[in-house]
Amino acid sequence: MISKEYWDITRKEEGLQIKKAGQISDFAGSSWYTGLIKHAIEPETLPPQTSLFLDHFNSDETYSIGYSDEGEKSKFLSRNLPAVAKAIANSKYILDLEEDWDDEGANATDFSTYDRAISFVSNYSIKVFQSGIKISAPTIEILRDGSIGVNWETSKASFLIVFDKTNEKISYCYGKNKINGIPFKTGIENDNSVDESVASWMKKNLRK
Amino acid sequence: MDEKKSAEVNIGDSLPSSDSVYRIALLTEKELDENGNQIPKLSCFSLSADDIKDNYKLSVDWDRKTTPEEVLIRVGTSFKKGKNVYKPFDNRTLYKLEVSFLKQLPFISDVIYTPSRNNNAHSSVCFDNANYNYKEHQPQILTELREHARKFHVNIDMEEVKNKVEELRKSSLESNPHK
Repeated sequence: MISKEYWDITRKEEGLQIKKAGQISDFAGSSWYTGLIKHAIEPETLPPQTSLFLDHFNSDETYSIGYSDEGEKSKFLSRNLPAVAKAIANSKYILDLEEDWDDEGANATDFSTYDRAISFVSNYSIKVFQSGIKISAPTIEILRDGSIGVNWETSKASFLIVFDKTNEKISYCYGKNKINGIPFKTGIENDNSVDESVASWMKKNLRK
Repeated sequence: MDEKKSAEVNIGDSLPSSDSVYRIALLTEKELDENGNQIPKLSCFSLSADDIKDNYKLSVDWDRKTTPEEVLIRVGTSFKKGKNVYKPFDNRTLYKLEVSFLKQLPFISDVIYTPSRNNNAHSSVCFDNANYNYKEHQPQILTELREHARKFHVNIDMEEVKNKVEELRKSSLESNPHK
């Protein structure tokens, strides 16, 4: 059985500050630290602000960081696409929003929905980067039903994909080239793979 | 306010295409597009789970029945859901949507007048979920509405709103001292 934990790590003058679900934690030296060491990540080499996702395997009490190679992806993004890494870091507050966060009946999100959105940002940004193009930074927003929208805006195009809180399997997206007005509309499976047609459209239209 | 013209529109009727509606949005850090227009948050045009249950309706206020200031005064004098605490009003702004624009979008079936006890301007943008699955078209819906709205950010006299909200909250407290 695997349970995911979400941690925020901020480097301060007095050392690393660890927050779990928005609360400062005194777990330094235990699970999160074990995870870092297991993955040969020196805590002091982390970016000033970063987040880690810990998969906690209850059965054998071992830990791994993030979903699959998320620790590596975070490091890769921080190094090569810092604006994208920053957009992800800036979106963490979404997980702390409670029901009725807009005082008009809006719903909270959940980790699974947020996880799908962040995986998409990481996977597609890296895929486009691997073809020699730096993608601009997206904005990651919560919607009123607890779904998550990821939006890119460039002078040439806009692209929005919504990760529906009630549909784990498929996410729908809509892109529009602002110059010729040609729309791009499709759905992708949330299986952590990269849809070539979406990546190709992003490559052409969302260059930094 | 044109009482004569508005008298022609009854509850449930379609709003005139020549009019506009206001949509309340949470005020966030100022983000401008390439033309200097303030970009509304996507959430501003999305539906909550309750809105979806209520036949895919987005709440708006008809501009013929209210001023922008009155919209925010209503926010500031109403309570948070299930609490005896007033809603904040100074963290909100308004965007205008033209009814003619809304009605020509394929995924919107109509914009109708749905007044409530506390809000005579209340109206609803009805999404046509039967023919255009809302979830499937949501990215396009949010994109189109936001693109339109960013051209119509509404200027509000916040001083007037603040004074009126304070006055009404005070008078409510005086008439109901146990609140």
